Amino acid sequence: MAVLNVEVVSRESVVWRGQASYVRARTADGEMGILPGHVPTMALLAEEGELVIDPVEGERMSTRLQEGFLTVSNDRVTIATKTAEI
Amino acid sequence: MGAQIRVYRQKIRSTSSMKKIFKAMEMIATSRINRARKRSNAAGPYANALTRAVTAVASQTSISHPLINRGGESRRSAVLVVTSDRGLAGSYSANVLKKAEGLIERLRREGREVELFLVGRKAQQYFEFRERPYTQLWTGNTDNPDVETATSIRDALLERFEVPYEQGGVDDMHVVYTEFLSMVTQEPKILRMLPLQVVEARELGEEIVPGAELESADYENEALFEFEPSAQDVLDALLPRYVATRIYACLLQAAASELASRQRAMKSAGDNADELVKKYTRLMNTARQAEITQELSEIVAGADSLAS
Repeated sequence: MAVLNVEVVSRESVVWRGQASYVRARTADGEMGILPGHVPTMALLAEEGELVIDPVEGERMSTRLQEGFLTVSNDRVTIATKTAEI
Repeated sequence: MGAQIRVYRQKIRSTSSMKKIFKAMEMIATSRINRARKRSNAAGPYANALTRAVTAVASQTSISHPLINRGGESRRSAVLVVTSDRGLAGSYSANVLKKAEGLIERLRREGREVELFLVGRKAQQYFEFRERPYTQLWTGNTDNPDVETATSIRDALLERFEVPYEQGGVDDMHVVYTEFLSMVTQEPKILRMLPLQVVEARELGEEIVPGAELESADYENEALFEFEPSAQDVLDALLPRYVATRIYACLLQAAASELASRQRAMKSAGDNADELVKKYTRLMNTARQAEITQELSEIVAGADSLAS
């Protein structure tokens, strides 16, 4: 099964890196859910919003994000944000 | 005679206590370099993500942005000089300032006005002593820069950059900082930060690295991106962040360089102190021996005169 390679980076460090089956984030236009096979997208994140990651192994994680942007291409998801903690 | 020995003893004592201080400073610098390098590496992924994103937007759309080459002649340049707050770092700040002077000189010769932005108290002292005005100054944490400082520098520079020349704005912007190549080599560098573009380093000689070039995209073979909310919005939001990230990277490099220079300077100071202690010990021994010899010959002479 296809999975997403997710990388969450803040300005000072890599916050989380791993494989996930589902990612949801709040972008400037509203909530956005990402599954494997998502169309290449580049989106700005909302001023503040929740990020939810369903890792391939382990429990669902969520964190609050502040500003930033998100790119999806070839099942690679990069979320770059000002601050994030997981 | 006894006075001479006392003087040497004093010198030895003060030199060895200075040696302890040098040693301590050297060790502090060593431990901080590692931290600074770690931070520099940790900031890498974010910078890469941002670079890739900016590159993708810029290469897939034909929209323009004032931060990307706006063309036209440059008549006023901003120069950001990154030095240290404190001395005792060998020629670290002096090298940066020399490089900066060279750049300023060149820009002036080309008929441009130069506006200075300074980081670090050493740069402040240098320019204030020469009574040369600067626009803005950041001090306080050159050996441990934070993102906020970088953002504040970015804001100040972009503000000046957005104003057209006629109203006193700047047309381009350079950063003079020290690149950390290794623990023993750090090199002052000039980076052309704005406008963002691929530039042949022709105008100013090959010494200037076209720092903010948007490298060929590795997204190239992939499908076109969808932008949310719009390509223009994404670009508008990303470019200032890109600039801040670049500045932050420069500050981190400069911090690591500063600490490495300090470590080296302190190491050689410690070695010199060692040598001085050795030299004074020898001199002291000679003086003591001379005193003893003289006393002996006085006694012998005295005994001789009594005996005769």
